[in-house]
Amino acid sequence: MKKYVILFVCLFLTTSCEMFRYHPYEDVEGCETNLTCHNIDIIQRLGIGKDTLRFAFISDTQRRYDDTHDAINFINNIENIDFVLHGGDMTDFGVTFEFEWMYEELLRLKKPYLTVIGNHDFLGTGEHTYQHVFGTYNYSLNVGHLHIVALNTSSREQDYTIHVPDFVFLYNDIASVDSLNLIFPDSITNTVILMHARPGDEQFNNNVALPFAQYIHNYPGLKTTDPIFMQSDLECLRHSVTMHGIVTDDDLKAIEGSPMKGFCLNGHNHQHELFHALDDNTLFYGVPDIRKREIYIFTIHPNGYDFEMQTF
Amino acid sequence: MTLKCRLSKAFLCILFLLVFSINSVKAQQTQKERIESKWMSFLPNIGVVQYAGNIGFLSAGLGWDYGKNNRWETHLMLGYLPHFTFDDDALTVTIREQLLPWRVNFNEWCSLSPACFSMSLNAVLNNEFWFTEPVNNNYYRFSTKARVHLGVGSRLNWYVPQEKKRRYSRLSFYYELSTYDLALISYVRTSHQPLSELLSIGVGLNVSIY
Repeated sequence: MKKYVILFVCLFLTTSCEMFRYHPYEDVEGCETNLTCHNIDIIQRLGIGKDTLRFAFISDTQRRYDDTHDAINFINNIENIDFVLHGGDMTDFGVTFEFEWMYEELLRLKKPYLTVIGNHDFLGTGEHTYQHVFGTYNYSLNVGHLHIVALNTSSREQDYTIHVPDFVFLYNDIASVDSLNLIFPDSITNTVILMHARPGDEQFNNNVALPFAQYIHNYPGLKTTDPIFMQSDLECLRHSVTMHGIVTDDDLKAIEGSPMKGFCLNGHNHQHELFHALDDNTLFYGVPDIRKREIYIFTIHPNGYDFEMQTF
Repeated sequence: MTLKCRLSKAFLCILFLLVFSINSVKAQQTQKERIESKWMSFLPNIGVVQYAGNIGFLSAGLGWDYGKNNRWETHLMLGYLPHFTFDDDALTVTIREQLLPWRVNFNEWCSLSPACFSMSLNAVLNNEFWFTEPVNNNYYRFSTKARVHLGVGSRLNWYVPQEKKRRYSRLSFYYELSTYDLALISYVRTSHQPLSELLSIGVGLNVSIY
């Protein structure tokens, strides 16, 4: 009898306290909190006095932990990367362990990163977990002369009942950028708008696509009255794009049709798409999901930006 | 030590105290009396209390045993989840089917069921969760509300002699290691995360009522 009881007790004792789990959607443990705020602080400080900024963009890493692992190894070996942007959908089901696993993967990045919430991250208690770990859905920051705006655009997940995208946030943010440029002229010259779903997607509240376009055209680099790319800068961009020989003629046409210094970044569609989603010349860079093993790298300089698509 | 760890240990201490208090009674084994009336057999004859195990912080319920040597058990449980959505508490409902194929009898008052296999369906009672998506039920092809759990565990049984006139004839302490559908789907595509992160352990008491 003794040996059976010992076996029973031993088997039981091999389990650790962490395995006493209450529910798949229980609150998250062992992650930092308010990570976005923390990383904004780091990124803003590293941008002080920098003319050229380089960042990587990935999105839709849900349930692709091995591909994300490889992507992070790849990004860690790219030279001069200042920070990384994640376009949302870190989880597929919004389950707590998915947040924890993705958090652990992203923790391996040598550079700070920022995220935006995706529609899958809203599922179950996901929106609470996201807020707990990362913080607010909408935020903005200035990195050198670049203004980055991160927006929650998953209106459908909130049944179109909550102000998504948040125009009050946009209005106040545009006012603050304008004030800054009024006091220190040309301190902000470029804008990057990060979102998960772009206008035209089923997640976006397409009823407000037009006002959304009108709002974002008030950001430096996205204004229709802004000075456009110099021809030489456009040549540079075209060169950086074609250097890797991956983009198509349609991509080139999309880039050439948008001679603005600012642009939008989106994920959600799981495919590479360079697209004028607002039927004007605002360019949306839609990154494929991490399974396709492609990442976008942008180099922002005062005259414009360079775009590279790299595979790993 | 985290709060969860402290709670786990406190709960285990209570369980062991309960179990060994029964053990100290040198009881004679008696077979459980079968209730004569067929209609009465539909009444639940098992009480279950469980801590953790991905079905709630604390779950309690009733059940039925049947089949040859009462190998099969069905449990219906209500679980409690404190601070589930960081603000609100929530309740869960679980229906569990359990198979205990083997039993090792040590003496007339003690036995071990070395392997218990179970399959449960758990649903969380919260408005933010759905069986099928409320707006467009083709977009997300899974339910956030209902989870299918698969478990395996062991059970240590103590039998109470009839002359002791207790309200229960058997008291069992069990543990169950379980995982669930979404965890298994996710584990397929990872080689960097340990399987233990997808497993959950639940411990509890199972009593057979006269």
